[in-house]
Amino acid sequence: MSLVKRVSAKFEGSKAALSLLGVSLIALAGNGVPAQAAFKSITTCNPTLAVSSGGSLINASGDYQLTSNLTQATVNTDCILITASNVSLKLNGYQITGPGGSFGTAAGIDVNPPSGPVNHVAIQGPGLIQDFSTGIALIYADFSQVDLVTAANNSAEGILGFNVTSLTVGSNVLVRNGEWGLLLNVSNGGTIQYNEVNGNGAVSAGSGGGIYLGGGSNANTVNNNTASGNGQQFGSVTVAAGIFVFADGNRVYGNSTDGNVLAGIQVASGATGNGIFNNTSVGNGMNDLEDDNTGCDSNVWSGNNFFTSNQPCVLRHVA
Amino acid sequence: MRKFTLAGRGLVHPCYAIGPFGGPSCLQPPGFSIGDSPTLSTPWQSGGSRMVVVWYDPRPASLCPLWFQMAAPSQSLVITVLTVLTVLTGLISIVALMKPNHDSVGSEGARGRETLQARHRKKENTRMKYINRDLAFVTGILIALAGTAVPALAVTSITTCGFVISAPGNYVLNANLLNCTGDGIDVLASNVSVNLNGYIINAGSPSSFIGVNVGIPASPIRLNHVGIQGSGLIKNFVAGVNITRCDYCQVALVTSAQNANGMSADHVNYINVGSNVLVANTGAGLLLSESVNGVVAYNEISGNGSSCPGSTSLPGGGTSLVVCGQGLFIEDSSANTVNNNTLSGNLANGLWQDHESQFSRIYSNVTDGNAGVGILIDGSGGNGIFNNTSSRGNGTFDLQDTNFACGTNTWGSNVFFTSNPSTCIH
Repeated sequence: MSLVKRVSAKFEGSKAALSLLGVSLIALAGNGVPAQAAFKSITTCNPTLAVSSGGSLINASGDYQLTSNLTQATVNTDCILITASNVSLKLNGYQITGPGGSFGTAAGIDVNPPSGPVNHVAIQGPGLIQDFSTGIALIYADFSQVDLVTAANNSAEGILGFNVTSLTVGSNVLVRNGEWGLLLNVSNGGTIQYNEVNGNGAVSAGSGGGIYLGGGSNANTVNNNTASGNGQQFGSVTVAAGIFVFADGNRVYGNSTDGNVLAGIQVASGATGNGIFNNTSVGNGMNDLEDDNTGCDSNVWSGNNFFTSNQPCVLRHVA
Repeated sequence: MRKFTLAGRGLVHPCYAIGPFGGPSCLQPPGFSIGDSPTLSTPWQSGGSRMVVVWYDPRPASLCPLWFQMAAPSQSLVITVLTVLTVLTGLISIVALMKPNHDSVGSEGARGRETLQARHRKKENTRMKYINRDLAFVTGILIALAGTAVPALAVTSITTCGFVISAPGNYVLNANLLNCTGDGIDVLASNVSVNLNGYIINAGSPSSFIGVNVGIPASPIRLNHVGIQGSGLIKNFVAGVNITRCDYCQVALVTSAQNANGMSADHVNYINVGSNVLVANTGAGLLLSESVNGVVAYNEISGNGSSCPGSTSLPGGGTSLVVCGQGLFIEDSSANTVNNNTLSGNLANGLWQDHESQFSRIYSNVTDGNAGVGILIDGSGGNGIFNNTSSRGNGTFDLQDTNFACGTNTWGSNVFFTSNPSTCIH
């Protein structure tokens, strides 16, 4: 091939390449490459209407966010209802405020599928949820997590988990709720860590405190939380502990449970196979550490710092 | 990073070391202020034993709450002191021997060789004289420490309620003081350290007495340098610890719970309240009244006010205010520093400073979930409230300043949700 032909061929090749690039640019300028899915904004409390229609019902997977404070004035009505799996919700520093008042049945954020469990629902703060019955309720929501949220002044629980497997609750502030800061029932394999759970149980109920692992809540890990000053009922108190364990096989360690009205950490009668170690618990009203099983049964207590306990099988840290 | 300064090289007294940490008790030597460079002119006479500060910690009081008084030099301490002195003397000797003689260079031509050699000999003699003096000094110290020149401070054991301390010295609990029908311990003297040693002082049931009461009742006489150190639990008293008219006093590592008030201090200057747990008291966690230049740091003050009677008289009488349920109440006090405390879940405010208090520095605290306000500055001015790491979920406001436009107070870099006024609280 002569030099002229070779130059012409190169030029033709360059033109073809430029043509292809031009077509591509035109395509990209249109709708050729889809943008990353945007967060869908929730701007009102209306759990009967899907977010896509301007409400606060999350019934489809995706990323959602708050872009303003939300207020629910109607009693016994959730603000945000989640019924789908694979949902992330960012509170973006905003507040969700309920009607307040006495006990009700509604939650600021209610993960509550009508049929069958959902999974992988993530709620992330910072953000404040207040004046509902429950700040965040997770019911049949496996592998879900709540992080960096403040739930305060709700009449029952800050966070409620029921029939939830592998829940993660981390770095939240759960304070001054009427009954428990965090309550789990029939929820296994969860991780509760680095939360501040103080000053809960301040209403005239018979039971209230920091963290409650209720019946069937087995094999959870509760570590590095602060659960202090809980259970300040003015009336009679039946259960008021920083951490109350009424289930089996849980690991409770590295927590600080001071100044609760009754016990710092209490393992109820019938709860076995729990490990409670390396906690600090002082200044509680009844016992700093308490095991209601004779001889602590198969619960293992070790390395804890405390002043008072109800049995010698509750062992302290040895310097 | 701690920086230690060796003061008083020419030690002439039997010496103890006062180190920044690690001792059995904690007293700042009288006459010394934080940051001073102690000298031999200010020895500490205590308990019949002369003390000289060798080491000191120049950090601010907020970072160095504990001064430790060594009751007697332990073997390791002796070794440490000897090592330091030996190394110091060795360095002096080496420097002296290796130092070049610059004078001889310039003077060689102007003066004769004999004169130069004579000056050399004179300088060497002088140098050796200094070295010998230093060696003699170290030898003297060694002899002093090896013998009995350093008398040990007596440690008095406390095993019963109602113990009255009327003489300076070190006191330590060696038993629980249970079901006290009066005060647990009364401190009526200066230069006293009380180590609770992990024991409990309680009144059995709520009483009108005080767990550890520091101060001379109904007297204008002021005490100084009284230290109450835990760990230890005090409960069921009208106040776990009460300190009245005491300067440079401190309370550290004490748990005070289920008392009417966890701790109260009245007419005290330069008090240091550090690393205590003041929780579940039925009234308030800590009351600071008519006191200046104090430090309240690294305390947990949570869950107080579970049974508020409606009003509680302030220590010292006079004003009666509703202090029940306050985590920390600062009244008629100035220039105090409040930092790195957790004041959460109290049934009134986390921190309330009244209108007669001013020039406080309030920073790096956590004030979450109080029924009232997280931090309330009620009419006072000149305060700095900054870098408080979390004030969230409080009942009325997280942060509040009742002055118009915050007055002369500065609020900055705080983490919160709600404030009043929102325009000047940042």
